Amino acid sequence: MTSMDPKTRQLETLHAQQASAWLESLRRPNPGAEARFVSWLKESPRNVRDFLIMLSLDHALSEIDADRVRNIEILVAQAHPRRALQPLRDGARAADSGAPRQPSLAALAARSSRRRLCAVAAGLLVTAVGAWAWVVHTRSGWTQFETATGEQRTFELPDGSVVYLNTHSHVAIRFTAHTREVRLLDGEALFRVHHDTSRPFRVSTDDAVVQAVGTQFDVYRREDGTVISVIEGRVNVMPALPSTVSAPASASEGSSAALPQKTPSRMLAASQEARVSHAGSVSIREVNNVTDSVAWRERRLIFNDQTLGQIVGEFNRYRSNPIRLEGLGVSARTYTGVFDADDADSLIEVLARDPALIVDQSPAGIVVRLK
Amino acid sequence: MLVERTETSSSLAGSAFRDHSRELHRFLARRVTRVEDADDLAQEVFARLLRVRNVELIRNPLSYLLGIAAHVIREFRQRKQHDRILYDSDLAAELCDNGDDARQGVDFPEQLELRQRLDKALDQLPEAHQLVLLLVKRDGLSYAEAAAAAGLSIHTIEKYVVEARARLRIILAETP
Repeated sequence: MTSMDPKTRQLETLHAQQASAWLESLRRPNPGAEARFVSWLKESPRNVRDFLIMLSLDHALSEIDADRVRNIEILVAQAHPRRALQPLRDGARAADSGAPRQPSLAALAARSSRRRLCAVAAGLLVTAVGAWAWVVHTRSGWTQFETATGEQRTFELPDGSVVYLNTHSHVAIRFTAHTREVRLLDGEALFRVHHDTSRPFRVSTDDAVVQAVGTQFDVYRREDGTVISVIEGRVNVMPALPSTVSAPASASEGSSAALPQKTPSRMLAASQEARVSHAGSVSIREVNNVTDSVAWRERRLIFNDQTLGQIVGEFNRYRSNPIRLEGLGVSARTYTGVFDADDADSLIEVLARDPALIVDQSPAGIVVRLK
Repeated sequence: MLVERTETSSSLAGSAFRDHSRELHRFLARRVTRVEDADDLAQEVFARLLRVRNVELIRNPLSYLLGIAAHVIREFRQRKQHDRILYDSDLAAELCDNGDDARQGVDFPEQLELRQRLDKALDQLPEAHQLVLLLVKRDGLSYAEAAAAAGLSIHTIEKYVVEARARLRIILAETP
């Protein structure tokens, strides 16, 4: 990498500074620091990368200037010109007593850039606030969060609710005095809603509007509609009629009473799942193990007698290089199994053992077809 | 736990690397300057971290993290040996390096290179940062000792260490 543009440089500096500060905080026993560090790591692969690199750099630093060509005394003298000739011990005492020191030009230069870094570092103390820095604020008051393919992120909202965003997903969020509105624009998210009866929490897709007061539920925008799974508590589900949701703002205005009378609102309890089609039909079923629907948080993919088309579709959400199914009939074959989202090899192994299939692995990608 | 941990003050990462894998450091040493190359490792480590329960992680996050990373690198290597790859510099280096323990203390080119680049980058830091890094990292002083030697507060020493490391990473990334 050669020289960066100012914006990239600023961002990279922020990340490097963050990683370096975490490394520092782990040096001494500090209750709570480990927990905060772990949740920072779990925020993004990028944090993991920056931290690992910082570790390696720090490790290499122990052998810096191994030939000892640099002279400490000269550097101390440059930092404190008037004390250059005094023994170090006195210098230390003066510092402890808080006597004003005369900074060198270099130190002053360092200070001005330090001020910039401090401003940056101030944001690091509050991770919840830090997370907002990643998002795009739009003029209409909608704040957007996005994840890349393979990435998962967790966000805490200003009301204390938490959003877990799955791979390749996109939400827009707007809070007002009376509403908490979320638009799921792409992908899947799990919501742990902080209880607040005065401000309903509403999640909408093109197909459905889900309203909760305080609960935990998952919303997944699939190609064929929207699937809502309730982990805890209950939510209200209604189809999003074109007239009420097509414009981003309209889902937000007014209470549920203002929705057209025709709109059937369905109550969904824990361990229930609703599927809302594009056409607005709602089907509800009981699910035996509702936590399976949020296994994605542990990057596990669970399939129970599902078609290969669905399974590969799920895997591909996590892959930048998708698995392709070719030819008739191959998508309709059904399988059951539990996989790691990051380990497509395990799926490929299973498929390769199926005598009816040919699995073709080449640098161009993985193609599966019937024999 | 108020005992001063002098060993960790000079190189927390060092002891953690010793406990785990020199291979990991070699892998990373090559990637400090080409940051994006560490993405594969980070993705995989991240994915596995998500599967570990927080209670376990929090007990000793650093050694857990390095343990996972070392494991992932070993797997990368095994996987590469199975794949049809014509030439890969990592693999070539690793094949030359069977029997890691027998070669303790030997410098690998990537570590040597990183060290030389760090020495050059050090000159680009403000003097105050240079001073603190030399006292703490090269001479192995505790923060209290370094504070006394430099005529700075312990807090400032800590701040300079954090800043200097971050700056070094940016300088390294920008120097071809």
